[in-house]
Amino acid sequence: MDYRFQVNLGGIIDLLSHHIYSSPQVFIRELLQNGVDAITARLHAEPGHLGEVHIELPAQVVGQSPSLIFRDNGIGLTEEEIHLFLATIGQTSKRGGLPDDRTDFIGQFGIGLLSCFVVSEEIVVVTRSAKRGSPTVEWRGHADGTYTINVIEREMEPGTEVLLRCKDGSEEYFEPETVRRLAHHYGSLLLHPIRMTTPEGSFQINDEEPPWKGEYSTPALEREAYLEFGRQVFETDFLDYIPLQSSIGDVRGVAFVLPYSMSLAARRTHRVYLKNMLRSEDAEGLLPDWAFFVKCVVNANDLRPTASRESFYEDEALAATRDSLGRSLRNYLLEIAEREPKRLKKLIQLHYLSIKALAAEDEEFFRIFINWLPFETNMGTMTLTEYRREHEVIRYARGLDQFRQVARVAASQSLCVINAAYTYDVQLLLKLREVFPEARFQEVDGDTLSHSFEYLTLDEQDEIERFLKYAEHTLRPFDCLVEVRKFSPEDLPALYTASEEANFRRTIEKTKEVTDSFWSSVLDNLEDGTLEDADGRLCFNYRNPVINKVCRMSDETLLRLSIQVLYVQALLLGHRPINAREMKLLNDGLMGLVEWGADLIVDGVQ
Amino acid sequence: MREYNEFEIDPTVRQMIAESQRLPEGPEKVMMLEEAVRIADTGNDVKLQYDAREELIEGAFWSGETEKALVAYTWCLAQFDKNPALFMEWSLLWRYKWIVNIAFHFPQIPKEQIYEMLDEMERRYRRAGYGLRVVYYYRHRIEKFFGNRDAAIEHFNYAQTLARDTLSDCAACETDERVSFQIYCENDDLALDLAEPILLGRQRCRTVPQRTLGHVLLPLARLGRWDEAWDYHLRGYSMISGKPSLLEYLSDHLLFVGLYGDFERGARLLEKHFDWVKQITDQYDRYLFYRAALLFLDILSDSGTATIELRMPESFPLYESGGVYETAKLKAWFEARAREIAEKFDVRNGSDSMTKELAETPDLKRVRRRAAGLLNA
Repeated sequence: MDYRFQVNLGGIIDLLSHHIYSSPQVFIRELLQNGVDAITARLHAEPGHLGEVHIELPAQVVGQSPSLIFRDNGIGLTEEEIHLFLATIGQTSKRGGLPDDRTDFIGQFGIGLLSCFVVSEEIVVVTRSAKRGSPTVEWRGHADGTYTINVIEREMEPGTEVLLRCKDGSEEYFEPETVRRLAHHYGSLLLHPIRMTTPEGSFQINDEEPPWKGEYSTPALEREAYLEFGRQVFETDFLDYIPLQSSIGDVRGVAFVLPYSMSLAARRTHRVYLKNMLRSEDAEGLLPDWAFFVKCVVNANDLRPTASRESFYEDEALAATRDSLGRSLRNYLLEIAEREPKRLKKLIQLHYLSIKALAAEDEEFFRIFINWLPFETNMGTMTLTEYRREHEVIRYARGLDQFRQVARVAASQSLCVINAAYTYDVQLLLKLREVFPEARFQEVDGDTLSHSFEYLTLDEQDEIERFLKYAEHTLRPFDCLVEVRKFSPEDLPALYTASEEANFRRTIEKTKEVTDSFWSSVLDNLEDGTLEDADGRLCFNYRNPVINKVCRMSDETLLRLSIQVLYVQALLLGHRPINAREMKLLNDGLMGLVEWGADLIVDGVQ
Repeated sequence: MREYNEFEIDPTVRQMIAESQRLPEGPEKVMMLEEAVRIADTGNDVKLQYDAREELIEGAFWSGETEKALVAYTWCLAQFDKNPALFMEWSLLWRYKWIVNIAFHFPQIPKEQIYEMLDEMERRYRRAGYGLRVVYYYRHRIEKFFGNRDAAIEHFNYAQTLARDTLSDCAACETDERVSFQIYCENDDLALDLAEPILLGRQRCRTVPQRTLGHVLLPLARLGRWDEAWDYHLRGYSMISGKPSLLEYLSDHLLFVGLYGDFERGARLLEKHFDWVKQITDQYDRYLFYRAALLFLDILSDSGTATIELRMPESFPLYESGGVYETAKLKAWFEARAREIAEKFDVRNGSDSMTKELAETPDLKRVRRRAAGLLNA
């Protein structure tokens, strides 16, 4: 004998309402979907049938909780089919993306209905199948999982009527305004009319068409219609619109160009309809990653929804759709670049990140846009066209740190350096090299820059020998190499440069000041494996008047103190983390100098 | 570049943290947070220094610059111990998990120190009143990594019996851990059954299903379920193709594409993601990528393809400006890189499990897809 577990409907409702559906108001969507599915099924059998969904909010009776009736003139259900959907409920969570056939419709009908238990303790379904000779059947289901099925004496046209009675605490979902708003929200694009009747009267909820279905006598009218639609849906005055179409996935829609800049990490929210029903307001994966300068409204007739039916299943069809929609956006940008320089300027100003992201992965697009895109340099923000007009070699620093090390010194030598620390910039510059092999490039960091610093003459070298010896000796414990060269700007006494490894080592050293012995030795081990070129380099500027004097000083103490202070000052100028030893170096150096000065005066007085 | 004076340290740092949160994971974000830490350090507000470092740990970890997360974390740990009342213990302990994960992926950190870290983790969790479920999951991971199969299984089974609490990994992550464990135990069928809630989209989190979609590819291939595998590959790859910190899972995909026999796609994956390897400091992730590349090239040369067109960066030691590479040469290069790392790990781990795994990698070719016209075999 086979036994079956009793499915605990209460438990399933709870699970569904908490896990599958994102929020309770989706019961309206589910009821609309059930109605539309039933009409579609009937249309297969009776082409030409005029489907309609009807929502009725009866006048409220004092002492009774409010109710809501959903009616459709679709295919209806037989008693057997009601049993079928009840049986399916227990299994529905098993597989996602059911195939689109009759059993699926019945199964989905059941799940759709379940979502109503979130707002209603009891659901009454009265239905009559369009099959010849079918009786009217009534199903009464309760949230605790009990139900009754009866054949009732009632004449009705084929179709289904669902009656919900408000659960305590769900009153807001039975307010006429809420119901209208939600039904419009989810169903405004549905092809069959949705009528609503309240004690005040009767009206159609979905009487407007999406703009891509309209025909326009002039481009201006089309523009007006699209932008107005955008205003209504997103309450935003968009900069522009891009009609979208993809035969794969059978997608139509529109992308609106945002009138403000979007950050890269911001959530991308698009309105996505599946077979004209609003399914998601934050569906992922419909557009390529770079397309964060638009907000879309799209309808897809031929993509596979996930189990919750709120987003799409990532498969080849979705990938192909994404490519196709991406191409629409790309073509739009290319067209603007060609025809509307003013709009292009505005677009780049707001959405250059999006455009950079696309240019980084698309060669043809890159060729057209690269000269328009802005880059930050040590001489201000400029486009590559502007840059190349003035400078033959394209110089760039890969990181913020490198950029900072070189910005000032490079500027004083009239070298313009691009700060390529920002997302996509390095990629774009490397691509530039591939696409325009004639352009010359140079990655600049403190080292490459200091190579161009002028050497001292032999005499001068003799002069500073003693200074160099002291400096090397003083700074060796700080893993710092020392040089003396001539460079501008003159008012810069010394330039400290370091590789990323050296910076990382500095960070580790500083951290070890607070960690216990165990973690310090972990850090030591980490350091051992990662660092190769970890020395810093301090380059004194012989052209600086103070340095010039210091180099020729003979007093040993004074020499040492000055070197200490100059070293830490160079670190500070370069925004380096100062560790405790260096702090002490600075303090000792300063105090020593003060003391030396004081002695001088006191001695002088004596 | 920021200009600020001592009174503006706090707002400057907070502002930078807020700005960094709007950036995607990657070097730019890490740079900004490092800068925030440096600026915070110029003042003496420990709370601010700590907060900035917490952000840096988070940003660096998810951007694949894990050694920076480790250094910042040790600083926080020390400050917390000095003044526990000032900071939130839960988040510190939560991130301890990451630190363990980071540490054993660096071969220069000795085995005893990894164990010591685990012991300290256990002590800290216990003292703060949390259960040890997650600690034993990590003990199992580490024994697995060290090649101690029995100990790994023992720890895993023990972890399963402990109660979940707020420091446990989320339900989706634990499902993924069970899937990986069954794959490790060579129960492909069971692993795939366990993966179902994730594959059907019922369980998800920040790294799931991405991780799982990579993990199930090889088992599906072994079972000959190529169509499903291909679907999961497409799904999983599109979720990670823009995130360098997920190089580990990307390697599963490269490995799979080779076995599946889509050489064109394999080549594009290889060239596109080779660039990430520089960015990712995690040694194990690098190893996985090199190993996947090696298998791909091995399959390619078996199929008689002597040269391959790739766009490699100029910094690539075998760089050819024409972009045409000899398959055999490339393979040898990737093999050598993978071996270098495997050997370092084996020395540290005191076992031969990783070099052995690497030597056995060509055996995976047994599970190649035998589609019509694809193979003569």
